[in-house]
Amino acid sequence: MEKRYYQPEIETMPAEKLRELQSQRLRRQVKHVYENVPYYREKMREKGIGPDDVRGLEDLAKLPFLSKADLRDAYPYGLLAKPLSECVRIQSTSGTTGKRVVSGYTQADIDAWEECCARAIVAAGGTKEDVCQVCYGYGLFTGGPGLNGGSHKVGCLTLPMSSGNTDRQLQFMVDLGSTILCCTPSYAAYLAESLKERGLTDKIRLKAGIFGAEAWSEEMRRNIEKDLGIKAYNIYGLTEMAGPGVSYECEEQQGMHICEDQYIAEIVDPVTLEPLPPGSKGELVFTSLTRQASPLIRYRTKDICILDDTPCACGRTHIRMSRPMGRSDDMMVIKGVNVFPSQIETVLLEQGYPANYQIIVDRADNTDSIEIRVEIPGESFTGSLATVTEMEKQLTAAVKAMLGIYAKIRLVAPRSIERSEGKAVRVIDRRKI
Amino acid sequence: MKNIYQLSAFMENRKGQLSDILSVLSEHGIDLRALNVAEVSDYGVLRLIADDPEKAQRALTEAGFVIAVNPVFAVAVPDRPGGLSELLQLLAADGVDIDYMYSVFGHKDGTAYMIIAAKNMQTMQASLDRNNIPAADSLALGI
Ligand SMILES: [Zn+2]
Repeated sequence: MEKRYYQPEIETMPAEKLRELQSQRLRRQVKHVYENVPYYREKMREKGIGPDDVRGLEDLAKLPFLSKADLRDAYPYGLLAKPLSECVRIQSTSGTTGKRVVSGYTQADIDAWEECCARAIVAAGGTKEDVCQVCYGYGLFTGGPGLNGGSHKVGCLTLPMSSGNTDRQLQFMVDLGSTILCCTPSYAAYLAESLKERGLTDKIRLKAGIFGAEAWSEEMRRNIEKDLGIKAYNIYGLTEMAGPGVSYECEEQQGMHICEDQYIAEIVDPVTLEPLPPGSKGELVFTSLTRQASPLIRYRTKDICILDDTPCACGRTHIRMSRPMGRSDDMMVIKGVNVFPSQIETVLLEQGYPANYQIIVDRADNTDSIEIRVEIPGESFTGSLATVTEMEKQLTAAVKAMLGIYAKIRLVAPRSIERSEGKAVRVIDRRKI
Repeated sequence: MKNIYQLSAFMENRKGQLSDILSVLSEHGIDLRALNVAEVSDYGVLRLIADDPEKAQRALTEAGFVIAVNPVFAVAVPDRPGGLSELLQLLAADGVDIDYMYSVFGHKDGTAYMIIAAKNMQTMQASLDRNNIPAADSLALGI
């Protein structure tokens, strides 16, 4: 029979026992950080608390938050909680914005991280019979090393391909009979396209894909699954919390199980920072419970998502998180409702519009208004005014369903909205002017 | 079917859109036979009959406009009181569902034509045939 869990005793641990384990590990971790990281000790003192004030999960909210700014301030070793002689690895974020963030690992940290990745691979149906092709980048980026380590732990035959060189990827996929593909969803879509072009689609043996490290939609998942003939699993992680494997999908594909023996997940209001109950949309905050070299307490990920603590049919008891729906930095509060540009983008793509749009927020007589300028897709214009009116109506309804508030849709000519790399130009908030 | 081809352009309701479209056409030496604008508050559809529909479509599409090309009928309106009403009654009696119409003058003789777009063009052609109403060909309109 197929093995369903990598660490069944942990992955299916009764909720009550899991909370107990988290409480116990939290106590230990807070003590470890307080004693070894002067930066965090100072933060705790500012809040007037010491390690003895944290007896368990119920005291979590007393602890101060950490943000990326703290990690940059502390660069390179300011937050390290172990002497360098105990550390065996450094991984780092891509550093596209500002100073790099580095994360240190002891051997135990590496083992725990790889075990999380192994859980993700087994959840995707992986066994020692599988050939696992890892085309995430290797190096400072955590994608390649994480899945590589997880694949070893499961006992898969591991192909450490790293990213790029599509011809070689396809050749190995066909010749070595890869059954599991690990890469970004956009690269998976590109590989599927390339297989089709070369007429190799029926020569592959893939059964599953483990895709992450970038935002992707349900529609993209369905397309990749169809094109590659696989089941596609979402995986989530961040270098600050070791890397991929912080959470991963099971066969139910209804949210990603967070490795709660390793991490405490909280959802907080991005503005007030008040913790919110499961089911609420807010910013995801993680506390690493076992990491020794770079333990982070209440680290604000800036990712907006929803936690789901209802039981999952797969038998895992660990809480599930939705796909990140946006970044808290991009959040706008309109008519008292949190709105993210990414939500609007999702609706546009679902409804067949290009993702080039502009959001104009304004306020008149103390009432907020939002207008979304959307380029009309040339091929959908039939010449009939009624059709355009109908398109506008449908899009208005879809946006309202997503945001919960009315937004005026203004259809404009194709290519009339300035193309931009950054998100800033997408939103014109006249309320601030 | 004896129809002619009409171009429709999506127009945002902002200053200069119409003149932008017209200047693209004149730059390419394209003559207009008829022009009509249907609009709601934020946008509209410009309908035009050009002397060279294919060239007009190419020029406007290249200039970044959204263009659709549809067949329409050009029907001569009897030059007497109630002429248009009579025509419409005949079409309605045959179940022709008219989308919109607008008038245009013939190229040479100054005859008044109605440009008519019907939901079902085949039904309209049959009705015109049955009632012995000639639809103008491209030539009459100078296309
Ligand atoms: Zn599950």
